[in-house]
Amino acid sequence: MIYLENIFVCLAIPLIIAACLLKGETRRFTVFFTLGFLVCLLSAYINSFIAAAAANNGYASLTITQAMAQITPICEEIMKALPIFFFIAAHRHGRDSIVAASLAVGLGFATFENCFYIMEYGSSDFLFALTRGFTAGVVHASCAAILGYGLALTYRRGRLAIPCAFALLCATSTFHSIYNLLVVAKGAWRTAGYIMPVITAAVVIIGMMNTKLKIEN
Amino acid sequence: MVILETLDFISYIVGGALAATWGTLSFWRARREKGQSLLFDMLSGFYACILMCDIYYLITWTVEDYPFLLSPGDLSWVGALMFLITIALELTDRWTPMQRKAARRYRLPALVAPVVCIAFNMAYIAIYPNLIFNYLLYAVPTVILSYFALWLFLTEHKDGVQPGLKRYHLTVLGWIVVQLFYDLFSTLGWDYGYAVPFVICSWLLTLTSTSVYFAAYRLHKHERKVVDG
Repeated sequence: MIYLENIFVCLAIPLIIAACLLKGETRRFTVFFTLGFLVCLLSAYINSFIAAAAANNGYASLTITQAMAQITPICEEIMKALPIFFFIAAHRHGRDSIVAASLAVGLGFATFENCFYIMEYGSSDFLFALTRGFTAGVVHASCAAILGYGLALTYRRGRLAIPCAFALLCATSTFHSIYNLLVVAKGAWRTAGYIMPVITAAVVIIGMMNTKLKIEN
Repeated sequence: MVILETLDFISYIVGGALAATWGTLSFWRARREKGQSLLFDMLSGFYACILMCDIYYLITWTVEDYPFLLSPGDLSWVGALMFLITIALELTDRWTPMQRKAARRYRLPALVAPVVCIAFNMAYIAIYPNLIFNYLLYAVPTVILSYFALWLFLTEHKDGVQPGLKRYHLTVLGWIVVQLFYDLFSTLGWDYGYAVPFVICSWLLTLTSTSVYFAAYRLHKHERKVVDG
């Protein structure tokens, strides 16, 4: 059995100390990166609780595939969005800061999740580690970046921000579900699942670079 | 009948996915050429949600059984509705104070649409009380969208504040009406073995969804004209 709380404590303490010493954007990034760990830990609790509750309430036939495709992504995406909502509500920062904060939450979440998987399944398989890094890590980071980008567009528009935030949550949850559904399947579907995040990351990076070039010009 | 249903499903999924890809690509091009606009971004979100919904159902249909509790594919469809609500809010935000004042008189007649939607949804919940969460998930955005769609349509019809968008609002309204009937017929059809109304309704939904893609494209073209000035 793996004690996630202990892993969290050992990983978060150095980052919290670093956050106290740093300033400005770097401190913000470190804080949100650590918050990513925390929301990953909380999501693990909530996922287990919902799966158990569903099994006890007449959904005993709930398979791992169904739980991974339908419960986990929705819960994880909502949890990842919470620190970003708080950040937007509490501070009036620029668009870039919002995207950077949400990206940090996504990366922190992915890092903590990867730590857990490496401990659970062992660190001897290099291919497994490489695949986790390029797929799950990228999915979490991409979903968080998309959410941050969308919120950054509307957060100053008052009432527009609420339906847009909900729509973005729905979109990222579905994207995450599609990935989960593909990787737990077999054969070509699984390969498609591994390729999907890499393509998405490429599109997001090209899109961001294009926007940056346009602004600079 | 199974073949007809399968054909309907495949045509709906593939057609929807193609239309959504086309919409996303055309948005991408417009954004590159014309620069950033909130409407372009919201439209891309709308198309992306429809595309993901189609992909999710296709994969679920192929690798898994039908979703058991709450399908993220449904959530994506709700996301598309929420993007349409954001678009409606953005369109109302563009009114001048004079236009806003003129539009105020249509707010009360526009309440007819949400009342009808609520009545339909109450009927569904009465028939299937165990699906209350799913119906509420769909009902809330549908009720809000129907209100805005009717309000904007009435305003356009009488005052013509944003010319060229009357058909868009009408299509959104039509889409909502067909969805309400689709839900009613399909749920009854599953219980009582009425496969024919289900197939007819799903074809109707396919046609209406296609018209929504074109309506979104019309909105897209309208925005390009606005950006061009």
